[in-house]
Amino acid sequence: MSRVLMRTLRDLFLISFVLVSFSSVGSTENILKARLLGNISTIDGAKINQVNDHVIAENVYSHLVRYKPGSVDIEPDLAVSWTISRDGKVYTFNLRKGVKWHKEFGGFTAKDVKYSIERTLDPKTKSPNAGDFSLVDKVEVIDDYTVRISLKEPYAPFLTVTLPYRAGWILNQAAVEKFGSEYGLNPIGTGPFIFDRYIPGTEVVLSANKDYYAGPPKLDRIVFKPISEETVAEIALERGDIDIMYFRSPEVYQRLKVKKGIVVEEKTGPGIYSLVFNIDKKPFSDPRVRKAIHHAINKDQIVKYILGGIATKGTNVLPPNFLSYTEAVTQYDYSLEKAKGLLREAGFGEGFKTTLYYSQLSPWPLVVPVIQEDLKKVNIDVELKGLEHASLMSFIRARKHDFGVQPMLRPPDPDMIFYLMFHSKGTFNATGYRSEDENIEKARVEMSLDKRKAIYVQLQKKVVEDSPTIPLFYLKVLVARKPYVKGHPVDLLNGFWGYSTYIEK
Amino acid sequence: MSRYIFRTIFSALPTLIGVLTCVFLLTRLIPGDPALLILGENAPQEQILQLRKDLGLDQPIYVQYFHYLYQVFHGNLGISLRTERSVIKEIMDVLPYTTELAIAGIFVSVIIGVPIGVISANRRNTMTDFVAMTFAILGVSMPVFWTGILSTLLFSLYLGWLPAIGGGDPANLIDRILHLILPSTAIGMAASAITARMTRASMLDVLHQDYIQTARAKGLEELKVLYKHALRNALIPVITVVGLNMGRLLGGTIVTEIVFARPGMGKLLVDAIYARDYPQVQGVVAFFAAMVIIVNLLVDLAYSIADPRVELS
Repeated sequence: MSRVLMRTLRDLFLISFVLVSFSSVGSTENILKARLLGNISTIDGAKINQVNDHVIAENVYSHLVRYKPGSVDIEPDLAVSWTISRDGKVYTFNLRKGVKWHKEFGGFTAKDVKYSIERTLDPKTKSPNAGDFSLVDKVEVIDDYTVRISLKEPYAPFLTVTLPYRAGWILNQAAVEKFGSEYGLNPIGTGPFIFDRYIPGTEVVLSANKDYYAGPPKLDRIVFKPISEETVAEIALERGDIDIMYFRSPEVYQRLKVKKGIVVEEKTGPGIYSLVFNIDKKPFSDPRVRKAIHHAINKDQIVKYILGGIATKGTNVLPPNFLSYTEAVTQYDYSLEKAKGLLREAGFGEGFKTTLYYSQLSPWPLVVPVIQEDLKKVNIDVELKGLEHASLMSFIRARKHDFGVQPMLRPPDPDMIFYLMFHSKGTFNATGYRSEDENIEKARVEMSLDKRKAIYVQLQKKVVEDSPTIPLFYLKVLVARKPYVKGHPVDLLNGFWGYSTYIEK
Repeated sequence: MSRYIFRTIFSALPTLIGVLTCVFLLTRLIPGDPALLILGENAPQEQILQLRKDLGLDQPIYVQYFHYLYQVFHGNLGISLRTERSVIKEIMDVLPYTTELAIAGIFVSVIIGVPIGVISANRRNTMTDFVAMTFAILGVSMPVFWTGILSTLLFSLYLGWLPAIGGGDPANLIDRILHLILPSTAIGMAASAITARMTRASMLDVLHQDYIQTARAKGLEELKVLYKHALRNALIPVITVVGLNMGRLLGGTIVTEIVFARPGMGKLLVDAIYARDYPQVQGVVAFFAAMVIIVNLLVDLAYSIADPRVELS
């Protein structure tokens, strides 16, 4: 190749190298680079049912009431106060005044609440959250700043689950109609950040809402970068391509915990990860067999060695941070003798064969071989069958299994666990359990907090005693960040609270 | 020439239909219901059934199939079930990134593979030949996932020379090139092994020809002999191999895009499969198939230009 050409190429390379190295210097803006676990699909509040969209939406939209950042308690958001009728069916909200929609879409009023709920319920919207509002009878605009929601029957978790979670995002009618089918990538909300720019597969940029009702956020911008592979995200964090990330991998956790210049934070999340039995199929129809298996599994070993610190041992069907959680339930200590004894009683002293269906989503592939080994010791021969996550969830939902796994991560109200998992009509009922339907229904309409708690305490005792599922562990929510990222509360529900977060270099 | 092009495209149609049929059937064989995945597991059964109806999923499979073929041949790849945007639009948003990765990959495979093949052929059965061919085997054996992460660790994290993730600022050409270096090398390495072996075999063939001996006897510099005379003629099969590599390379973009967190059709395809987004899966695979067909067509044309003995017939 000619000398001139070589020289030109060399110079070009050097110039670009210099340009790229200096490209990150010189900005006085407070910009946070955060990891998204994957690409976004749509930021239309009524259509979101995956984590990545949820993260963005939580910063763009507001709720009537929302979760306190980093917690499962609720606080006012667009509603400043509210009253509930004695029969628990009518909620009247007094709304915040002076709240502005992004990009000059006017002021927030009660009709926006009515619009949002009715649009979610409209079958044409095809909203995954429609079921959450199925109990809504009507929504009335009393005046610009008062809205009344009437339910068909009382539903205690309406304020603690329905409104602060995905169904409760408030949208603007003019914006939805203006953007039509493109609204999903042009969302308009009242939240602390405005949806600024989206480069498919590369980044989602949110910019500060200077008119946010509680004052502008500390950050000027958040740049979300989709990185699906955990190791790649780890490298990006170390390099500074991102400043903060939520992650799941135990190996990444082990490495980052001891790495200088990275801070790892963890908090037990509202998720329960269980083994599930199909109680209509032999031999799992016999509670003694289920209890035997419960005694045969060494949960401590799994939590300590396999999950290496990213989880805590599961002892109850409710995670510890849920209302009414109690430790006064049957304890199934690790005991091969008890297990063998119960199996003998049930007529299975010689053991039996079964298949355990599991999800290929981390950390199940790490956990199930240990379960297999544990059960071998009591003569139960377990064949492992791994399915892709969505396939497994369909499989379990249709109760095609005898023995399977079930991850469950829902907003933190006991009704979410008991109704969805243990009521005969629950959509996540993977066991066929149906003997507590009446109590579960009673609890969800009970408006007195103490009475509700009491019913749930009884339910916990009964369900743990019957053991249709074996709670294995509660996963922690894991966040790794650079030390200069401050004010970020660990979000327990797939969110990312950008408002209080800031960079201090 | 234009008749040839037309005939080639026409004869590629059965291949394209075959690919579309396969992917249509395969996606529907995977367990998992798109309506359920869109609406979420908490949705009431009636709503799920209604959505299945709206998406046409309740129709018999042959009806869905012919409807799909009809749509495709009218240029309509349908609407993505997840994002509700046109499938073509979703693909167009990221197609440039995949295209540049595939081209850069081919480029890498040629600039690494061809010289190695030439040197190997020239020093046949020596240590150099052995080392070069071992390198070629290693290149094709090491998974892109592994070489990708290792190269990122070395060049991005420890040395800080190159970016680790992303496709770069779309408006900045230099930035995009820098973001291409590691992924295209990872993906080109495996392809370069095949190119190297093909070049070597082809060169060996040519180097034994009389005119090469004549050129050497006339006192021509070795480099000129190798590159100006021998390689030119040896390149013909190599061009063919480049075309064949394209299919493999496009498949390789899937893993590469995940490892380097790059936007692209590979990542789009993976996301669509997880979400059982049938129209998106079908659309992306159709595009991949079309790209492979077009590249092979171009290879045939290049072939006919490079070798005047070859007539397009």
